[in-house]
Amino acid sequence: MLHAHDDIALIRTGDQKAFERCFNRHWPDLYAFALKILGNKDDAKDVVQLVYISLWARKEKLNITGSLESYLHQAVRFQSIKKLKEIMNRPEELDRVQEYIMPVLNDIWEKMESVDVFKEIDTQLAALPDKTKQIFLLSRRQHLSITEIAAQLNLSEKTVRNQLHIALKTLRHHIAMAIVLAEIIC
Amino acid sequence: MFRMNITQFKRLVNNYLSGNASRKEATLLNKYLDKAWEEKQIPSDAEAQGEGVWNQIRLEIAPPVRSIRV
Repeated sequence: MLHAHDDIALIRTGDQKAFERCFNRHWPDLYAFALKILGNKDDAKDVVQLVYISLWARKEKLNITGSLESYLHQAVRFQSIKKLKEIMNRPEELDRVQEYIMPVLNDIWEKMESVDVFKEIDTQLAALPDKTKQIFLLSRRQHLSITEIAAQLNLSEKTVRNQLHIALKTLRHHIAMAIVLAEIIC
Repeated sequence: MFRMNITQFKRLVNNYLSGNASRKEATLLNKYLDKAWEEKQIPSDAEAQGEGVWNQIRLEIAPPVRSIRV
């Protein structure tokens, strides 16, 4: 039985049978991948076809360090982005981009933004003085009242209130963002 | 909440292809591609479509036919 790495060597020598085997082995996944990216069968077929024609054209100079599967995956990835650029220059295709691609992209974007906001809150929190941070965490994460915090830390309620005010003022913008994001995600 | 529109996405793709995408832009596009790979489903007509594409490729890579003058 011939393995994929044997086929790479054979393709380099111009063996069309090996090339066809390689096509048949990887076509379903690569086609499904391009189709998922682009949302159109003809564009997906164009991308995979171009990748294979280009592979054949450069067969003698082929320098694949990893697996052929990984090489083809990367090639389809890159060619699909180029195809996306081409699609977005066709006014008649913009509805498809708007309906098929943008919602997925914006969903990923919102998740990335929410991670950023929570990271930023943690960063800002870490920069607060220890006592302020401790009071804020007791209030917001352990849900203790001002009276309870004051008793636990042996401070006056006024001090606790002031420290909470400082923490909230520092974190205000990021907390507001987090609330908005939480509402969108939930 | 900021939502990307097509014009911004077009700019992002151009930046990515020219190597000028910010880290965040590149991450967004890479996540989109990773998600596509993870969630891809092989269509029921993949085999038939594959035959058509292979025939096209075979024509493209076939050595040129030499005409012989008589």
